[in-house]
Amino acid sequence: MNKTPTFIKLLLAVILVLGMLMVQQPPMATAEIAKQEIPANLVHIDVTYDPGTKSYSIGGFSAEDLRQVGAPQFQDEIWQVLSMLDGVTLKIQGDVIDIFTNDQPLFSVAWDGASREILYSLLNAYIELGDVDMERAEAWLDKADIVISLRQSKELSEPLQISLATLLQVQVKDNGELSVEGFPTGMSLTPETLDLVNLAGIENLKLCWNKGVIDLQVNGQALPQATLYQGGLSVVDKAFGLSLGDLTPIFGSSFGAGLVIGEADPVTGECLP
Amino acid sequence: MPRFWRVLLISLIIVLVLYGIYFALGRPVIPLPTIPYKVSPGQPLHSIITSDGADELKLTLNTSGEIEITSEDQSVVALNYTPETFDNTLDLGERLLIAQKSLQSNEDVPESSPFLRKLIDWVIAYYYHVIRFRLSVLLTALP
Repeated sequence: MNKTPTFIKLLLAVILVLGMLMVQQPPMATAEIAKQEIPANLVHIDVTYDPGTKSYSIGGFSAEDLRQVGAPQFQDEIWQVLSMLDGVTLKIQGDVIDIFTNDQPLFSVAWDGASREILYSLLNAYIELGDVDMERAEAWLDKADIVISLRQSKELSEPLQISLATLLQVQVKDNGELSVEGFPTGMSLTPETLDLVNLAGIENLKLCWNKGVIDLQVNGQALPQATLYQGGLSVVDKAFGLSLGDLTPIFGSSFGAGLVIGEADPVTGECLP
Repeated sequence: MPRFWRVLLISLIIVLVLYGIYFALGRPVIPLPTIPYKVSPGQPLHSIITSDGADELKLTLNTSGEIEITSEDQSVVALNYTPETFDNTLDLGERLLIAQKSLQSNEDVPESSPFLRKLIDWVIAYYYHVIRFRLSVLLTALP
């Protein structure tokens, strides 16, 4: 019997088997993702202070770290007030603001939509930076979980806990001026950088930091995901002489920003994984 | 059947069977030998390699979508890419480069050849989807 058909049959069989193997898709996650509640903007900041040495630590950053980044020193009057307290805690959770002193409740203030509107009106009347964008303010504060605690202690404060679902909106105006959430920062891009960005056709950026993982989108197109390891950060720090100090606190945080160049539409979406 | 065609068919079948086994195993990454590279003092990389005292930096390219830099077994930074994000990076890099050249020379700079871009995309996609390798370069600082 001629062997040619056997070869062809064998070849066809192998191709068929391999084809089926390749076409086989991994099981897709078809289960519907349970609809979650709108994620909250969680900010927990611990501050410790020592009136004896007139030093303070915020969010896990030591007094020395803070001095390096130009944190202000308090006046003696402020230290006198602080020395009379063991601790003050401000909590904004749900529709209430609670203030505690020395672990005892001092007072509570309503923090619902109506009371926030009064606050925005007051801010609009008294601040000179411009009107508060109520929609943006509500995006930040509607589901906020904010705890700020001041403790009289010589210990280093607890690391920051920041998990922001709302993107910080940053805008670069046509003249290069930088504003954050509509408020001018006083900083601006150099004309060379602005020309480069405009010529390259970059209209917006979305940057997300999630405990060391960096996601970046340029004009809506995702770039490779970068992971910066906490242990390896010292190598980068020393290699480029950045003098970053101890950045341990931010490795437990997640936040993001949307940057818009010129009059492009704001960057939408969230950063939470 | 002529001998040539028979040999060709058998070779094809062997290749297909081997690839079938490789595919069935989940397309594991095939490690290639590490390439040593000595960096002399004075080179820009030298100061970076010696900065943490280890005098060694390892750059690993895993074509399944990861580029990692390690120093003394400590991961420094890792980049996870897909062919799409790689292409987006090339696109952005090219636009920035053209913009920079245009600013410096005040002339229009032509874009790179579309064929070259396609070729790069195909190569990246091939080594990402079909056969995966791990290639490492060990940078050692000379005293």
